[in-house]
Order: sequence, then structure tokens, then C-alpha cells
Amino acid sequence: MAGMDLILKAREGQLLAESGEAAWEQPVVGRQGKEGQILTTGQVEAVVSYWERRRALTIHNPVKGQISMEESIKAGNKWLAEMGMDGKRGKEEAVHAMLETAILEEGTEESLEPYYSLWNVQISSGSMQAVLYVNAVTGQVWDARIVFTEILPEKEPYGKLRRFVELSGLEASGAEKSWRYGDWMVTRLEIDGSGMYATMNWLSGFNGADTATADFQLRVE
Amino acid sequence: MKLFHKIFLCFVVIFGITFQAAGYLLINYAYGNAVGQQKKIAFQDFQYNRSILQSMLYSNPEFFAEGGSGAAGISRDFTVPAAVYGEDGTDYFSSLAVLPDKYDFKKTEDDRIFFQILGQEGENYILVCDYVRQGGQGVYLVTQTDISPMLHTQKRMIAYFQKIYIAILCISFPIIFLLTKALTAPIKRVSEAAGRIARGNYSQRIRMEGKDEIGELAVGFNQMARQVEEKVAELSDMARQKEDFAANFAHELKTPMTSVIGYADMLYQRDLPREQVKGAAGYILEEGMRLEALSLKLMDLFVMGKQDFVLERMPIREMFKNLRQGIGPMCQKHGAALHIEAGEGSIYADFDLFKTMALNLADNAVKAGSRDLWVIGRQEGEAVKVVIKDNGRGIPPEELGKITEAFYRVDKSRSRKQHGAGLGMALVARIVEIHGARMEIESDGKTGTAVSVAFRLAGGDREDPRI
Repeated sequence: MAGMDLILKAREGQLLAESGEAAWEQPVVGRQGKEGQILTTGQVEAVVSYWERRRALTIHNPVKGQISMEESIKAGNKWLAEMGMDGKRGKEEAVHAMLETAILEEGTEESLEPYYSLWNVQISSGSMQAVLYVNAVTGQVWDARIVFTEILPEKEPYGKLRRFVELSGLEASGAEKSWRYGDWMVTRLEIDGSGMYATMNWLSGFNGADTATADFQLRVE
Repeated sequence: MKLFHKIFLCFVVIFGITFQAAGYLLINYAYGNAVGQQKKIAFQDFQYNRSILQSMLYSNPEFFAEGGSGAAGISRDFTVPAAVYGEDGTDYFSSLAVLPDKYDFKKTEDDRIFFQILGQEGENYILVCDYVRQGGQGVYLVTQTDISPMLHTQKRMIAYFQKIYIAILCISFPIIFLLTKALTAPIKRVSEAAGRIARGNYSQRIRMEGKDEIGELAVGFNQMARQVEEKVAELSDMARQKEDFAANFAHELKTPMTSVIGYADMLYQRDLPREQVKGAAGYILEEGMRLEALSLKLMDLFVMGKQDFVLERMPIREMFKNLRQGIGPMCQKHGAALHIEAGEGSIYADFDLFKTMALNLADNAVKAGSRDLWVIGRQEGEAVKVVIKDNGRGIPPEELGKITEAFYRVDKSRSRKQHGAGLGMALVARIVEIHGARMEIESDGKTGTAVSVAFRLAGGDREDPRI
């Protein structure tokens, strides 16, 4: 047993003295991208489905064909403005963005296309805090959660979901279907030519509070 | 060291080493795996905090250029202890618990990072360092991930394994002990049986079922024991026969010598009349001749026991023609009629021995008071039977089993008078054995005796019947 202790101690010493360089593990491959690249509905559906089945997330540096952090923040701000949801922006603005890719199984070395990555952009300014998921190739927002304080947006967010779908680069099919449960409204809109649909959860003035929450998501049936 | 102890120690040592080796390999694998996982976590920690730093610089590119007055406050933004250095190595901020041996400050934005595993005061960390660029500004970020909990878990796992190892060894000792005992029990039985045989119990056998090596050992042992028992019995018989032979020989020698010495002493001491001298001398002469006959017969017996005889193919007719010349005078002397019949056929024989055998048998027949003596040789199937038959007084049936023993005589007194030494039939039996033949003696003890000796018939290319 003393022998085994010695061997294990030596092995421990070896493991705990390791140093050197390591290569970043990139879950996606770099591709030469075109400005304003558009993804097909099928590609969007594949990415959304993949993200829904994720077991973990990995943070990584942008690869060739992916937009930078600044571009993702700009795209997020632009989206908020387009959606009419940028609230009252204050002087003190905190921004945080990190590039993530979903992982289905730990230890797998599947190399995905660059459009499988999403920028997690968090913008906090004045009366608004937003967490946006911006596609790393197209700059489109495919998932958003916004919390408003003090200045509330309109009580009835008509057309917001359809606008979200348009800004995602997709085509809506049919009319919005909404359900209201007191201050909480759930809206669903089918995506044309796919098994996807968009949802919006809108909670405004819950229990009379001066807050509102808007959730936009793309889902796969 | 006993086999039991050797096997027991072997089992224990092999089991102990194997279990330890398996445990070491498992722990080693788990350890390496755990450190690998911690490295991945450390790299992810770095990436996350890198994004925080980049976001910080995006919001305020002059953050660190402003003298870093706000730098101290950024520690709450980082999720792990970290340090930020300028491109020139300026220390903007640090909340690290340990410092690396050296920083590999390479101003490159590639896909490689520098890491180091360090320990201090019982705690261990992974430091990760890389160049971070945002906008027009570049800094070096170092993050620190604490891997001490993982190491403590590993140490607890090793301690737990050691306890399990000792417990399993303690449990396995009695099991291995019983197994070893079961394995060596049959060998012990063989050993005990061998001991009993060594103490003289030659009928000892081992009862063991099973077709393994121990079973084969038991079968072999039983065969050996049976052969030892047979050999001991044979040697005992031979020793007894030799004892009897020596005792009889001594007796046969002593009896006439006593008389010879007595008569010689009488002749020496006294002046006796001529008649008494003749009588005494005659007795001495008779006993001397008997002793001479005895010594000759003994010599023959001795020679037969030591010599290898070459048997030659001989026709019966020729052999019997020769016999007539030897037996005829003997019969004439005793007033017996000789009848010889010889058939066809040949046997492998040494003629001198064959003649000795026939003369001894004929001598016994005429001394038994036979009026007729038949010597017949005829082929019977694959054998040639030589029959010497008489119509003397015969041999009592109860004596038939003993008459081939050396010095055995049916009627001692008559035999002695006739210079008989009691060795004739022993000689005949030995000659029959040398020829590979078979002897049968039939007698009712009243009307005569028939001695049949069956020799194997000599064929065209038949080999030595003794082989």
C-alpha cells in the first residue's frame, strides 16, 4: 500500500505541475461569410432545434464568418429600436456579450457550422434590461427577454410578434393566436414552410407593479 | 514451507497485488480525468470573464487608461479571482491568490492560451492567461480557478479505497484459507496414505473421485501401492523360502555329520573288531555319498539360478532315444521295466537340463518301488507333453503342493537310506521354469504317480517360448 501511495503521489505531482499552452476548442468551423448573409428557413429550424436539445453551453471566440462582439451589440440595439422596446436609455449603460454554442453531449467533438453560434447580449440601461440571443452569422435576434421598469411599453403589444418574426428573417403564416390570463398574454404565430412557431409572453403590471416583461422565442414543434 | 502455506501466500499476494493495481489504475484514470475536467472549467471561466472584460472595454475603452481608479471595483464583475495587465506589463488590477512563475505575454490573438497549475499552502489553482483586444486597446487577462475541492475529493477517494482494500483483504483471508485447504486436502490424504504404507500397512489405498491431476495422482498411487504390496509379499515369500532352505540345509548337513563324526570318533578312539570297523566305515561312506549327492544337487540348483540358458530346437524322438541310454540302467538296477514312447514334434530345450529333469523324475519313480516306468512324449495341440508315469507307492494328495520345495521329502527315513537329499523335485521345477513349460503332478498316494510337463511345440519359425 505504501508503494501505491508513493506512485499516486508522484502522479499527483505530475498532474499538478502541468503548464504550457493549450489550443482553444472551437465547437464551430470557420467559413468565409458574405455580408448580409441570409439563412434558409431550414437552417434556422436546424439551429433552433439544436438549441432546444442542448445539454450545455460553451463560450468561445468568434471564428471566420461570425460577427464580432461590437457588431452583435449593435445588432441587439438595432433590434430593440426596431421593436420599439428600447425604453428610456440612461447614461449608465452596461453591456455584456459572449459568444455561445450549444452542446448536445459532453465530450463530443462535433464541429458545427458557424451559424449555430449565438451571441448572448445583455444590455442594461435606465429602465430596461434585455437579454438577446443574436445569430453569430446573420446578426438576427432569435430569442429575447426584456424587462421594463418605470416606463412601461404599450399594454397591448399588437403586431410585436409578427415584427419579431420578420426581423428574424422568417415569414409568418396565418394570424397571431393569443390567450390572455389576467395581466399575462401568450401569443403564438406559425412560421411558413417549417415546423417552427414564434411565441411571445407578455406580462404587464403584474399585481399592479410598475414592471413589464416581454419574452420572444422561436420554437420547433 | 508446506504446500498449503505456499498456495495460501500465492493467493494472498496475487489477490493483493491485482486489487491494488486495479485500484491504482482506476484512481489514476479518475485523477487524470478530474484534472482534465477542471482545466475545461478553468478555460470556460476565462472565456466568460474575458467577455466581461471585453464588454467593459467596449463600454469604456479608456477604462484602464484612466489610471485604473475604477479598476478595484471591477472585481465584483469577474466571476473568479483575476488580474489585468497592460501591454507593457503594468499591473492594472489583481485579486489572484497565487502568482504564476512567469507570464508568457505574447501579444498574439491566436487560438492558443497559456495555463499553469499551481499550489500554495494546501490549495491548488489553475491560472489561465491570454491577450485580450477590444477596439484599439489590448490587455492581458489572467484568471484563477480553484481546484482544491476536486483534489480534496480525490484524496478522500484514495483514503476510502485504502479502507476498502484493507477490509476486502481481511474478508478474503478466511475465504482464501478455506479454498487452499480444500485444494490441498486430497494431497494431504495421499501423504497420510503414503505414511501408513511406510509403517507397513501395504493394503492402504486412496479413495478419490475426480479426473483432475489429484485424481490421476491417486490412481497412480494406488497402482504403486498395489505393486509394492505384491512385491513385499513376493520378497517375504522369497525370504521365508530362503530361511527354510537354510534351515533345511543346515539340518540335512547336521544330521549325517553328527553320525559321521560319531562313527569316526569311535574308530579313532577304540580298537574295534573288523566287522564293527567295516560297519562304521560303511555308514560313513553312505553318509558321505549322500552329502556328495546333496552338494551336487545344490550346485546344480545354484548354477541354474545364475546362468542364462540357450534353448535349441530338438525333435522328441532324438531326445527320447538318448534318454533310454540314461534311464535304462537305472531301471535295470531297481528291477523296473522301462517303456518309452516318442511321438512327432520338436521343442526348444537344453538337452542336458531336460535329461536331468527326466533322470530325477525316473529316479523318484524307481525309488518309490515302481515295477514299470513309462516315459511318453506326444504332441497335444500346440504343446508337446512329456509324461513320466510309474506304478509305485505314489504321493499322498495332501503332499502334492509341497513336493517341489527344496529339502521336502514325503518319507524322510526311506529317502535318507536311498541317499535322497529332498532337492530332486526342486531341481525339476526349476528346469520346467527355465523351459517356460508347465508341470502337473497326479497321484492318489497308492497306485503310482504321473508327472506331465507340457512344452510349447516348436513351429517352423517359432521363437523362444520363454519370450
